[in-house]
Amino acid sequence: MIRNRCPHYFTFAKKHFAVWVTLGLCLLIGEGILDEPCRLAAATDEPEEFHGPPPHPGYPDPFEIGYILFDTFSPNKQFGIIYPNRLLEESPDFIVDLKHSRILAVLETGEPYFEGKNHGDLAAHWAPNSSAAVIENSGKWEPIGLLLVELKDGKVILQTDLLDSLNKIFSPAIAKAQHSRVEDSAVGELDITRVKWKTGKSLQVEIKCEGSTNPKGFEEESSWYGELTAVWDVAQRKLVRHQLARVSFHAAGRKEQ
Amino acid sequence: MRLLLALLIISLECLSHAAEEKEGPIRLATAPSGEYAVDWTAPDGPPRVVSKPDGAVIAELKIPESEQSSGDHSMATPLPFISPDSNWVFVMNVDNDAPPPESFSRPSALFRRTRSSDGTIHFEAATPDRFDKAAWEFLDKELKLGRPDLPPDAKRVYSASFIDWSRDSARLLLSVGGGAWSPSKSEWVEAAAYTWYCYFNTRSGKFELTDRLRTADTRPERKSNTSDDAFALLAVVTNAESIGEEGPQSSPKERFDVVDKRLNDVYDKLIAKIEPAKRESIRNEQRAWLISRDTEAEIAALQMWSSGREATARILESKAISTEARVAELEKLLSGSQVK
Repeated sequence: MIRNRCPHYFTFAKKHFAVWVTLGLCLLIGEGILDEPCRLAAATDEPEEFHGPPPHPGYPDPFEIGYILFDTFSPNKQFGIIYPNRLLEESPDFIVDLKHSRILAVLETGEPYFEGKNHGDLAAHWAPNSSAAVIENSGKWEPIGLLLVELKDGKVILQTDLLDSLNKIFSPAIAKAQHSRVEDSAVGELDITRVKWKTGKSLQVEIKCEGSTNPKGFEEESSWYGELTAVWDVAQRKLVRHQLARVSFHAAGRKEQ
Repeated sequence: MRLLLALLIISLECLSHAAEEKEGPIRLATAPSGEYAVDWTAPDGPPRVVSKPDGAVIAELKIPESEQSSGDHSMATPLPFISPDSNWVFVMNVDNDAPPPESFSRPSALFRRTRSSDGTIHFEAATPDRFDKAAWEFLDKELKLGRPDLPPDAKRVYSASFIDWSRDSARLLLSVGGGAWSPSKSEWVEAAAYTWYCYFNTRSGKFELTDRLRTADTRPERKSNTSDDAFALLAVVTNAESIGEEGPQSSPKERFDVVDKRLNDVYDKLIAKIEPAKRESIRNEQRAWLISRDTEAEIAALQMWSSGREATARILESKAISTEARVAELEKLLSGSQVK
């Protein structure tokens, strides 16, 4: 059984008195509200468990003890994501069918996310009709993966890395400002600020992000900054619109242009 | 005021215990025979063998502490691997959160099921000392692995990871490591990154090497850090040999490469032969199959608790098997009447 995030706080509580007392107070306050600490999701009517395939006979079940069910689900509550805890920290993330207890696909996000990963975070933005999701696997300076997952008839039919498409818009604009070659120009920091699904004639997802070339603010390096709004059409499998705004450029050692 | 504080602490203690009790034991593994299971209460309870019919505790599977251990394995998770005949349980403690050298250490033990004259089941350790240490000492003697000139304060840290049980339960395949750690320098004085294979023969009660393992252990690729699968996988063993079935293990990379080429050939022929209206449907079906094949392969490796090169090898083995079945399907489709 996989549950939503549930830290082993009782172990820490034994070792640190102050933490123990604080948590105890929280328990006192929360006892009436939270019947079982690991089942926070029950109050919001969200799925709380996922049972993977049966384990190898005689061996531990990796999905039972090594994976965590991410707390963002498809609107129809059928699909979710599982990621490994520290026990299986180099193992892949999966997209799963909660209704039929099936693992559908490995999330192809490069470096998988795992519980407590340094500078890591996971976000899932589901389409209103549950037929697609944009999965954001965050890294220190930019997402490790920004993956569009498409589902049909309960199966994953396509996974597309959207990060590459976004970088292809940033690079020429940076190259132009820096008078450099496009292939040498890339954002050093990319921050996804909004993912919004649009339903109409076709399913589209609008991604807003901020890109900059000098995230550490080194004075001896030029700094380019821009905000991008890009719209991906799921049926056409490409970006159909994009706009760069609030572009600014500071050449190394010069004033803003 | 003091009384109030005391009352508060007592009530917190009660609540803490109550919450812990609610957690309950986790079922770690069930014996293939169905007679017993291994349960564990997080975070620091010993794994317990419980009778499957009535849940009665039969035994505790305690792993002896190492000399260099701080003794604090409270966050370690015990992983039991029960032999196909259900007579042996290998348990290893995994703690990826611990700082080095504890993070490298894999304290482990092997337990044998015995039955007393009155029919009561017992579990006893197969080796008096720590199993991982005994495995390293065997390999060190056989393959001359350790540096003879370790600094005086250096302490050896052992690890033994489960790879496979042979089908006849006669051999337990392990990946064994033994780095040397200097507490005064807080660094490794002998690399802990490399591991070697050995068997524990449950019939003879001794560690052993077969030609398959000795070949893999002595290949130069064993100590390579290359990301080139073809090179690194030359020194990988994933399947334990049953007694009387010893021999080299076929290369998963070669097997996969051969069948992958066949798949591409038959798929191209099918797309060329099929009516254009059906092509998109076949393409979509093939994409979905590829996702399913790769996912099944990852699951298969996870179910064996493989990591590193062994995981890569098992993924390739699984993909090769699925691809062989897919080639047969597509060949049938290619020769069938439904194409035209």
